[in-house]
Amino acid sequence: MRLRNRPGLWFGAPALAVAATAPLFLFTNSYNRGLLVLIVIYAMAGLSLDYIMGEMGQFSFGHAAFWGFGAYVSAKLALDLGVSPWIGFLAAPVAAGLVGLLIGYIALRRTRGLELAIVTLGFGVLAWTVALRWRPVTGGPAGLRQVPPPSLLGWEIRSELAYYYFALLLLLGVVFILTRLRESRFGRAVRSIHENEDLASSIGVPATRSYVFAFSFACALVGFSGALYAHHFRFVNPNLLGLQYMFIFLIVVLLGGTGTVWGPVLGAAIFVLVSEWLRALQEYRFLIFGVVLLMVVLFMPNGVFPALRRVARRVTGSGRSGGEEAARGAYPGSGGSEAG
Amino acid sequence: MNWDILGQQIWNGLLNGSIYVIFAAGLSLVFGVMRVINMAHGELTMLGAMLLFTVTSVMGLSYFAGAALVVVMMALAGFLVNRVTVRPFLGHSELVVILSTVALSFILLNGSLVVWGSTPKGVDKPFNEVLQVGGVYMTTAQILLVGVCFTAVLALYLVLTRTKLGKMTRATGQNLLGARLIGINTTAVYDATLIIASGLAALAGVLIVLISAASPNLGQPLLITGFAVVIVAGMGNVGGAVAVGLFLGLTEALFGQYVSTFYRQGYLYVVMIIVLLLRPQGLFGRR
Repeated sequence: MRLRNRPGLWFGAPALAVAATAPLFLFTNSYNRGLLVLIVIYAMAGLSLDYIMGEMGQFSFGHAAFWGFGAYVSAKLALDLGVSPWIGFLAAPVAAGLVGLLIGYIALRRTRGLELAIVTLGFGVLAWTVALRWRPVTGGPAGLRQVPPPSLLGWEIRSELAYYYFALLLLLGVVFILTRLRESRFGRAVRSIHENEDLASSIGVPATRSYVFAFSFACALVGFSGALYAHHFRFVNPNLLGLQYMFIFLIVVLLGGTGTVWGPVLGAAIFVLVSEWLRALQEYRFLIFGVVLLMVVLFMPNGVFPALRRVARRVTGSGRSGGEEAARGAYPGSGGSEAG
Repeated sequence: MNWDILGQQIWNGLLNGSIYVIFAAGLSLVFGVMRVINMAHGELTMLGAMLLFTVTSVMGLSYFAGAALVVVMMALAGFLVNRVTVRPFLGHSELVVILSTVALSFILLNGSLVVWGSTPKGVDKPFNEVLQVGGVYMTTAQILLVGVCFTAVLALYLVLTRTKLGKMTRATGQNLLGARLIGINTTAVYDATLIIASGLAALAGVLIVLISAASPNLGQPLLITGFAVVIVAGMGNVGGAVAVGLFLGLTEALFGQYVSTFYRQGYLYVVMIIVLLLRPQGLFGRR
C-alpha cells in the first residue's frame, strides 16, 4: 500500500513546495495571486472530473452544471438567508451530491461511454438554460453579486493570499481523500467495474450502484469547488454552469493526464498560466490556445503528467515499466468491455 | 384558436426542423460509422455560413454559385478534419478524439472571430418574395431551404442504401474489424464519412443564412441542439435523426407559441430527458 502511493511523491513534494512559496516570488501582486486561487479551484474541479474519467472510465460532460450549482447553493444561502459561508461549504457538496445521485441514477442505469457523455451534456445544458431563465432565483444573465467571503474568528478571508492558502489546504485534503478512496474497498470496486463490468458484477460488485455513488461523490466534490469559487470571486452567474467551464475542466484533466491524482493539478496550473500568458495576444489568444491544445494532444495523448513521469522514471532509473499504466487502462474505452 | 398562427408556427418549425435534420444527420453519421463525437461539427456549419458571406458579399458570386463552392470546399476540408484531428488518435481512446475536435472547434471559432468579428453578417438572398399560402406567410428563400433540405436527405438516403460506398460505410459502422476482414478500405470509408458529414454541415450553414444572419457564434448552440436530436433519435441512427430533427423543430415552434416562449430553449432538453427516462437507447435505438 505504502509503496503504491509513493510514486506520487517525486512530483507531489516539489509541487507542494512550489505551491506554498509561489506567492513569495512571481505571484506577488493580488491579480497574480488571484490566478493561484483559480488554479487551486480548477484543480479541485479537475480532480473530481478525473474521478469519473480516470477511475470510473466514464464521461461527464455536464460537470460544470454541478460546479455552478454548488456555487449557487452556497451563494444563495449566504445572500438570502444570511447563512455563514462555512455552512455553505458543507451545503454545496451535499446538494450537488444529491442531485448527482438522482442524475447518476437516471443516466448510469443504461448508458455508458460516449452515450453517457452526450446524456450528461444534455443535462448540463438544460441546467444552464434554466439558470439563465429563472431570473428571480438566479439573477438571470447578470447573476448575483456581493457574495460574502468566509470569516474565521471574526477575520474575513478576503485577501487573495489568505484565500489561496485556505484553498490550498483544502486541495491537499481532497488529494489525500482521493488517494485513500482509490485504495479503499469502494475505490477498488469502482476500478474493477472500469476494467470489466461483467466480470466485476459476476463476483458480486454491485456495478450500477457503485457507479452511481462514485458519480455522486464526484458531483459533491465539484460542487464544493464551485462554492469555493463563489466565495472568493464573490459573484455567481449562469455561465458557471455552461459549456465554457465544461471545456475548461475537460482540458484541465486531459492536459494533465487522466487516472493520475497529480495530473489534473498540473493541468490546472498549465491551463491557467498558459491562457494568462497568451492574454497578450488579445483576440488571437484562444486561436493560439486551440493550436497549443491540438499539439499537446498530438504529441502527448496521455497528458503532460504521464509524460513527465516517464522522464522521471528514466532519470531515476526506478524499475517500474510503463506496462502497469497500460494494464490499468488509464483511459475510458481502452480498458475492457468494447461491447457497448 | 387562430388557425393562421398555428399554420405560421408549423411553417416556422419546419424551417428550423430542416436545419436540425441536415445538421444532426451529419453528426449522427460520424458517430454511427466512426464512433466519434465530432465537437467541431457546429463550427463547420458556422464556417459554411461565414465563407458564404465572404464569397457572395466580398467576392461577388451569386448565392447559388457561392453556396455550391462553399459546400464543395468544406466537404474537401472534411478530409483534412479526418486526417488531422481524428485519424491520428483512433488508436488511443474515444476521449482523445473528443479533445482534438474540441481543439479544432476552438481554432475555427476563434479564427473566425479574428477574421470576421462577432457582429452578425447578412447575406443577400437569391430571391425573397413573400408569398401568402392560406394565412401563412412564407418567402421563396424559405421554400428553397425546405426543398434543398429534403433533396439532401433523399440524396443521403440513396447514397447510403443504393451505392457501394454506402454499403461499405454501413458495414464499417456495424463492425470495423469485420469490414476490414472482407477487404473494405476503412480508411477511405472514414475519409468519405467526414467528407459527407462536413459537406452536410456546410450545407446547413449556407441554408441558415436564408432565415437568419451569419455569425461566428452560431455553431455552439446548434451543436447542442444537434446532440439533443441525436440522443432522442438514438445515437448513430441517421434515419432516426432525420425524423426526430423534423419533429423537434415543429414541436419546439408550437411549444414556443402555445406554452412558453421563455423556456423554448429548454424544451428540447426536457424532451431529451423524458426520452432518456423511458427509453434510454433513444426512440429509434436498438439494444
